[in-house]
Amino acid sequence: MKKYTFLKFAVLLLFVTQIVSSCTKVIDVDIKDQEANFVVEGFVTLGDLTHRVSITKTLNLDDASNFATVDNASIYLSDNLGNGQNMVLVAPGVYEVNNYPVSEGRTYTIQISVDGKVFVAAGKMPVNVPLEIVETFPFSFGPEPINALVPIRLDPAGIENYYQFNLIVKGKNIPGNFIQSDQYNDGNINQEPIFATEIKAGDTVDVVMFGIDKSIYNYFFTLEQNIQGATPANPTSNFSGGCLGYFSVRTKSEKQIIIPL
Amino acid sequence: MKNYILFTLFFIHLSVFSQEKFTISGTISDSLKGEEIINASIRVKGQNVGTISNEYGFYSLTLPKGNYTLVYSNSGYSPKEIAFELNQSKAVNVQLVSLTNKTLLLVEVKVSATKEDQNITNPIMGVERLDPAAVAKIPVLLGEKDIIKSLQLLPGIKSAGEGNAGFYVRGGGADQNLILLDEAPVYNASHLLGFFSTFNSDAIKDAVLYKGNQPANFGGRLSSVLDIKMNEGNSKRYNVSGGIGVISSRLNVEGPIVKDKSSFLISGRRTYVDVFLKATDKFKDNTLYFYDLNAKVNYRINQKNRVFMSGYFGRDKLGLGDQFGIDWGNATGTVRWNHLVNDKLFSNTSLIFSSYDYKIAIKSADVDFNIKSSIKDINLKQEFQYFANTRNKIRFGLNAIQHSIIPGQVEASEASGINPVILSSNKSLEAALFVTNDWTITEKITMSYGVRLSSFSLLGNDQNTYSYNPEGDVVDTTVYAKNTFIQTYPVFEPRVSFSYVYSKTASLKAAYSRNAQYIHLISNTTTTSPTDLWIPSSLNTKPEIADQVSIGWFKNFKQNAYEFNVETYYKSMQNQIDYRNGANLQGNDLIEGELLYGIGRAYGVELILKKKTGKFTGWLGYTLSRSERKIIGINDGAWYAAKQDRTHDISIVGIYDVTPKVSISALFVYYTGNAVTFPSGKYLINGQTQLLYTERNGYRMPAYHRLDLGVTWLRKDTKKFESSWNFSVYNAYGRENAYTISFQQNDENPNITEAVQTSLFRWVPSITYNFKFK
Repeated sequence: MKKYTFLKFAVLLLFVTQIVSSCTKVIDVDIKDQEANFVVEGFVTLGDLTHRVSITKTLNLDDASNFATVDNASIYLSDNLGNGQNMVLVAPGVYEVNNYPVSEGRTYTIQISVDGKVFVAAGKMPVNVPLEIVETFPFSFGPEPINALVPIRLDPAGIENYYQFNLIVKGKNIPGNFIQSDQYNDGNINQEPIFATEIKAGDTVDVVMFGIDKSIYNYFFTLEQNIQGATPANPTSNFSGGCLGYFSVRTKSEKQIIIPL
Repeated sequence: MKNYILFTLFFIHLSVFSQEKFTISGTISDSLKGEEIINASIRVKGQNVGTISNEYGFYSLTLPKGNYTLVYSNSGYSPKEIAFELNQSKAVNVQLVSLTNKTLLLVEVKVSATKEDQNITNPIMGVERLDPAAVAKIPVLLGEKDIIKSLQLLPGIKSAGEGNAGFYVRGGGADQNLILLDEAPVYNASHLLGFFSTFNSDAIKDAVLYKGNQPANFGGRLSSVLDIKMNEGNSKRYNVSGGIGVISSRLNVEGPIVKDKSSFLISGRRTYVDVFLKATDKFKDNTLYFYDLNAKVNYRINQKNRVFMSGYFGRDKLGLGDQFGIDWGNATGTVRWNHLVNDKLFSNTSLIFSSYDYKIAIKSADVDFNIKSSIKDINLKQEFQYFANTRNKIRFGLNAIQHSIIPGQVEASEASGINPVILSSNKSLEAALFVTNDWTITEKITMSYGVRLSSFSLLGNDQNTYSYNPEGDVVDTTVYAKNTFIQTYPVFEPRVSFSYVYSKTASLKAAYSRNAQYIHLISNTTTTSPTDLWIPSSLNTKPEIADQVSIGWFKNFKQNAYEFNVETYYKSMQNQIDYRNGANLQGNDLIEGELLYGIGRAYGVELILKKKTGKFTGWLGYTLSRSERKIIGINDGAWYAAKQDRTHDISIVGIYDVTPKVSISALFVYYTGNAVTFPSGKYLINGQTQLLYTERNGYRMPAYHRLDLGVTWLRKDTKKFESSWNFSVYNAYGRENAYTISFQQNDENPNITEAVQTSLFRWVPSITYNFKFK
């Protein structure tokens, strides 16, 4: 919900700046170089048997090459009961483990060793919340209506729940950080809308909802804040050892919706 | 110890002379309007003795028995001389005749021969006084005269961005300015996301900005006090005046209720952008407007008692169809009672109410809820002014404020799935005792010194009160019963300023002051946002304290026609607030966990050359300054530039009266970029390119410059009616100044990240018609 008001405020600001006839242009900014760092994204997903980690490196802002992948890491995934496996490289920068069932309530730890550095992160599998239904309605911000998606689910009472969404249209992820929390609707039927301007009438949208940890929610919240805020910053990683990125232990629930014409 | 010395000083120099003496006292007012004149000068002819009228036009001068001629004067008025044989105390009310535009040019020489050198003789430094009439000809954005935007053209006062009514004083934040309208604090002094200030120039009589060296009767903010006073209303005859502009219209009605005893003023302003929106297809369902209403009445009960009631109400409304709406605004009310205890002791009692609130309403499908937030103050101020003798003028009194803050309450319908959050307001008490004396030590040396003893107490409200560890995690949760004292912070705030008039036209001044601030604005947006939140000092957030030292050289040339001032200052600040990386400041119950505390320093040099009289008037101002913070958790605990840090700032203002009816004006502003956080690198998350930040405020925005031009044409000026046209062009050469810079992926090649600059306001023309029925 806080995201909701923020977004609306951003739209309003946009709207006001439109009225006062703003104009934009690309300018040159002298950017300082920085040392390349490791960027890790790791997932352990309830209901899946295959879990994936990808490792890339940061680039200077003015570098137009592709992000370099890191292929020489050794990665070990384990849970609090001592079940552990090594992950193997399956594609440039991508490591997987197969046949590794995961359960609600367990804590998973990942340990990555690369170029003499060690990065460790852990996360507890949240309570599984199923996505009941996804609705849609047009929301008029002005000239073009936006098709808002409403992922409806019953939020469990008494615990903090955090959600993340992937919206997939024609096999492609819609860009954006779609996160929600139960700050204002703990224990209720949650029907906070998601706004994605890219979704058009007639689209078939796969809505994937993940139940995530607070640290992952905060991670994406910071990314979202960076677009608006006066003090943008790198999100706090749950990895120790100085790399960027995060390790998300999450639940998953999916629904499909066709946006009516 | 310091305390002891100060108080001893008071008594020593009060009891020096004991000759037979009498007092002349009274008020000084405008002969046509009956409005009292603030800061008018009263001098004894042939002697270097005198005083100035106070904020209610009152003066009191005690002299030994004898014959005197008093010269009453004020800039823009023809001076008046009155001869007395002083053998008993007497009340003398004086009316000064204001000079019109036409007569001003004729009698100019005479005017400048009077005392126009308060800038030199007054020991208070770091002060800027603006007369709304004097700045009316300066070109402004969309023709909206704005006292705050005029102040931003003076050294040491910086705009918070393009077209923005927010301002920074001597390296302080926008929330470190105390903005008073008839003594009532205005918490959010801007409209329409900051483009306009809440002050309708028609209703304003006088504005004074103290850049940190405010006398001890003011307190509560770190950087400055902007003391704005509303007109009293014409007590002689009815006036209707107004203006029709591009985006707003104004109407001002004033007149006597009982002639010479009582008068009223009502002044309103409303924008009508929404009327144009209705005409467009795209935006016809949207709402966007603001309005201001100022009202004031005063009644002179008798020579010794007078009451004033004034109020302000302003509101902004923005809405997108019926699905989303936000409205916000300030309301203030002041009741004042002036009482003359005797001809030397003037008393003013004020009861002040002030509030700011916003409400967001969201309605979509089944979701229907409101978020409300407010801050309310009830404030009692009792002040005495004791005109002891020609050498000492003492002010003392007390002030008590109760703040009530509701940080964000959620009201929701049952079907919405939103849990209502009903909060009882968070209460605190701010109290102060103050005493200050203006002491003329010799003809050449004057000193103003005093002390403010302030304190702040946070009160319980039956809700959770949190304590945090340095990492920002809650370590203790306690519920304090309603109105129990949770924490009290006392601060001793000494203030002293000193002037040495070493020649007839020049002086040196020095000042030291300490200021404390107990409530803090939490804002994470680059522009002013109506949802910015005020928080009180608490167990975690300590009062902000600033110590400022400044010295200055003040010089007048050519019979005070030119004025040149140089001031330099160093300010050291404690308990400054900044945000953790990625702080969540919206609707966050644990907001203090997102804050970091540290120290700050600001220093700079301010120069101004003014031409005050003649056909050509204006000024040239320059500021060189630095403002830095040092906070553990930001940039590895090293000093870093505050977001308002700006190195060079130049403004040039010129007004030329071509004929008595036509004047042209120009304004040029140049400043180097503010400190800003830009990314240094990029990385991939969730298949999307993210920006990598390496330090806070490590980059600079590009330099800003702009030229505005204006023409004012006094069309008609008869006994009954006056009308004028005002034409202006904002940003006349269409410079594309950076309002924001964002970093985006190139559309064709996503591997390229581009810096995209957004600019507002190029060549904005405007036309305003002003009228006045007299």
